[in-house]
Amino acid sequence: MERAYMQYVKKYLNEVEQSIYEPTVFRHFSGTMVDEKKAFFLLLPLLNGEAWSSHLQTAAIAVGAVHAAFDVHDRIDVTDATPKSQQLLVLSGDHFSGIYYRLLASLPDFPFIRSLSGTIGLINETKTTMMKKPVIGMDQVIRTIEIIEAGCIIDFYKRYGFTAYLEIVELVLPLLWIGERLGGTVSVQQRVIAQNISMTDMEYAYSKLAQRLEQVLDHASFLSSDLKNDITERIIPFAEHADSNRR
Amino acid sequence: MEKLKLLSLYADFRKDLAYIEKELEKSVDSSSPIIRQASLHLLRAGGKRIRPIFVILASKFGDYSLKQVSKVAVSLELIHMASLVHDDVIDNSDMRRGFETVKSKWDNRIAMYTGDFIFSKALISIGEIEHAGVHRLLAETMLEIVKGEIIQIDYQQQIDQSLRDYLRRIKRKTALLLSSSCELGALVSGADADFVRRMRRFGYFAGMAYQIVDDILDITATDEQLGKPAGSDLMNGHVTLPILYIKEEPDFKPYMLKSFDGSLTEVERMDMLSYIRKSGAIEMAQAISDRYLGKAMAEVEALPDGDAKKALLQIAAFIGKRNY
Repeated sequence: MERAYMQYVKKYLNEVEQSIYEPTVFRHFSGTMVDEKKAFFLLLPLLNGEAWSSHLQTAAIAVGAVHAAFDVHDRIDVTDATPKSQQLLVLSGDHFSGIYYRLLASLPDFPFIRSLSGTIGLINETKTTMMKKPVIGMDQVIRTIEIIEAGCIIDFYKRYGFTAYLEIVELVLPLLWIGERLGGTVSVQQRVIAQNISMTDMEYAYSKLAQRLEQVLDHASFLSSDLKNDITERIIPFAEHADSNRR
Repeated sequence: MEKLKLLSLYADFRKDLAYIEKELEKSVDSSSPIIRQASLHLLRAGGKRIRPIFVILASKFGDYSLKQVSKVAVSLELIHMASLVHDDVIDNSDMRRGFETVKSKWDNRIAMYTGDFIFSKALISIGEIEHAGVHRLLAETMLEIVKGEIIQIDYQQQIDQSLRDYLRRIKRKTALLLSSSCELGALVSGADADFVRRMRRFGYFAGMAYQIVDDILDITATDEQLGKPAGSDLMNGHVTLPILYIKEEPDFKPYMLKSFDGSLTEVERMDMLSYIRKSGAIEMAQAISDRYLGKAMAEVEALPDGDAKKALLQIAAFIGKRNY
């Protein structure tokens, strides 16, 4: 049975989809443009009962638009983006970027415009480096994936005072990212970015993150047990990767 | 030569432009060697810096602060640069301004990340100006520009286009950012609403003329002057103003269809360019551009005399006569 708080995640996803809606783009693409797991972790403080204003909701939708922009630009073919569907992906990402800026400008939240833009810059630098240079060693793998996967959410938490949740998101999003790649459940285009990371480093990184997450969740007395269970359920599909390295 | 002419128009504002140029370089500094190289490569490839100069000139009529102005100017030039990097991915272009494009030198993905990086730096720069109106205007402008590009993709290779379709397209593609450059310059200098509106209109009219001339040059300039093959617009499926006038002519239509399906040979490309040049379409397009320029100049004529007014008029005149 679905947990009651998931209605907030669904509502949020719906609001992001509505915000980034562009008729031509959406005529060519079906399915959701916003990653549910990132939505879940972005809203973690809200789901845990923290005070949540309309300002926060708008800022969260802006972060959702950024995630959607990253997602579509990660789907661009490395060598040929001339088919119409690819051209529209390029432009839809740019459109989503415009939306995040418009949302933050409407608040207006100047410090968050600056810090989120800085994080977006850092994520793009990190992806570029990762595409062309091997990421070597478990710690570097973790740090790199943390920036790419959790950067915007970390920024959001810091801006709005949800620092208690930082470590959870720093651990769990890289964990899920690595788990999906070790499990081979991502598309060819999504795998390109991980081409310079060795499987061994990813397996070690996975184990380290999984162990640390277990400890953090054990000590997170502020977090509801429902949410702890939810987080645990999300990583269960990839548990074998942690086990293989502990043996 | 043309570039020198343009630089001479900027002479009175050279110091300010040099400051902005330095700020541009600083703003794209990156921990990623590829992004740093790609961004500097783009900056050094030149460009007319027409957006920064419009910001400067529009600010000169109010309380001018170079520090504030440079944040706006840097942001607008970076947004323009970022869009070019992504456009090259869409158009699969290997050359721009005579230099290899980011997507050609590295790959599409690196070009996407570089464009996004540059865009983020644009927002960091303008983010330091805590003026809600400035941000609302820039955000709306950016969204309209992208919408224009989306429409352009939708219209690609569509012969059934009207003059109004074309004008709407170039408004979003070029005129809006130039219009906003002028408007933002006026806004950050605290100018009154009437002046802000006048600057917005000047930028819009000048921008329309600028893009029409750009579309003419795609046909009349040489490959060398353009830094890419002449006729690229049509080969990328874009129906521009000169083409609108002759698209139904039986002798021209086969060239157009071959441009669209990629089967146009080099000899045919030369013949096609020669056909368009002799057709009278260039002169008709130029006449439309001149009408926009006339309107742009009329907006400036009413402003107080001074170096900034003189430069705005000269730049408008240059836009109509440029050949690169």
